[in-house]
Amino acid sequence: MKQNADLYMKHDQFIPLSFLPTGKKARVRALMSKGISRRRMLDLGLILDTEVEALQKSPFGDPVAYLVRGAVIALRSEEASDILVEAM
Amino acid sequence: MGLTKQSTGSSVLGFKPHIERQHPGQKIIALAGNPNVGKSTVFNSLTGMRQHTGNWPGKTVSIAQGSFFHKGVHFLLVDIPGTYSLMANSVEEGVARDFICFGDPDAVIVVTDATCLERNLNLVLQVLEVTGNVVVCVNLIDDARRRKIRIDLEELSRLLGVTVAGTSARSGKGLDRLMDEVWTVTHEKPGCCRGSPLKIRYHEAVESAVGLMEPSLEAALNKKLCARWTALRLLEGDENLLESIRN
Repeated sequence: MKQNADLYMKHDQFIPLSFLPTGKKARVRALMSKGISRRRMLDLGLILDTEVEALQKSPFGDPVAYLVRGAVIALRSEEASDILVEAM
Repeated sequence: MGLTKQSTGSSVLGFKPHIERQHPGQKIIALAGNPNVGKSTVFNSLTGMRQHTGNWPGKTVSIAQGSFFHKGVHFLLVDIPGTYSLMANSVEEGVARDFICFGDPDAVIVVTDATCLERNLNLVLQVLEVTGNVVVCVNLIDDARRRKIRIDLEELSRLLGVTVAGTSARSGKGLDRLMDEVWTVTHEKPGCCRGSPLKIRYHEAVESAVGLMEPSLEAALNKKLCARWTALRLLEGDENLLESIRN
């Protein structure tokens, strides 16, 4: 049905934050985590529409530093992969 | 640390933390804030060597307490764990939440980081939902200035509806003024709705549910807890809170 196809198309443009290349910015579109992890993301300011920028990977590639609402936070790739974003 | 028998009970959640005043005139102040905002610096600067660290009963979280005099009043400062929120998602947040809500402090200082204020306001707003006896301490003002960040403290105070004091705890600046404000708050305290602290208004459905619950809660709680805050937490499905209230 067209409605569902549209939704599917929309989600196609979203990528997990863990896929965002360093130096790129994106907007938060969905949080896939539940419970305490979800709460933590919300408390860090990662709510719908928030702008995120991937700043720097650490030596082993994980965790990665992100700029969120003026603060630099480190997220492990397992946490970042639960955040769907739309590249800007 | 003076603890009542019921506060050292076996239940991890649902107990009432109670720090006893060393004498009736002493004011108990909770020191809250996000991690890494200089809360310990504020604590150490105010309490000097007159502090000791204990454990929250039944938990592995350490709580430092220290006392000092300001304008002739004896203050007991309780350094509760640094948290991003009071939603009790972790042991630290639970302890912080329990003390601010059930520990009956005379005032709460929320220390925030001037270089990253927006994120810090999450905790400030949550604390304001519990009590209006709050002084917001905007710390690291010098660091912010160095980064060309200027905070309009007056405007922030006007928007939040509570006093805001700027400090640079590392260089000892602003701490006297901070305690002056705390002194004022602790000497004009009619309860949780002192002054007009900012109350976040939620979606209509939530607000009407709260409206329905408030009258019965006010009667049941008898001023011990803010009825509005309790209603909101119960609507969130906070079962532990219900238990704590029953006790």
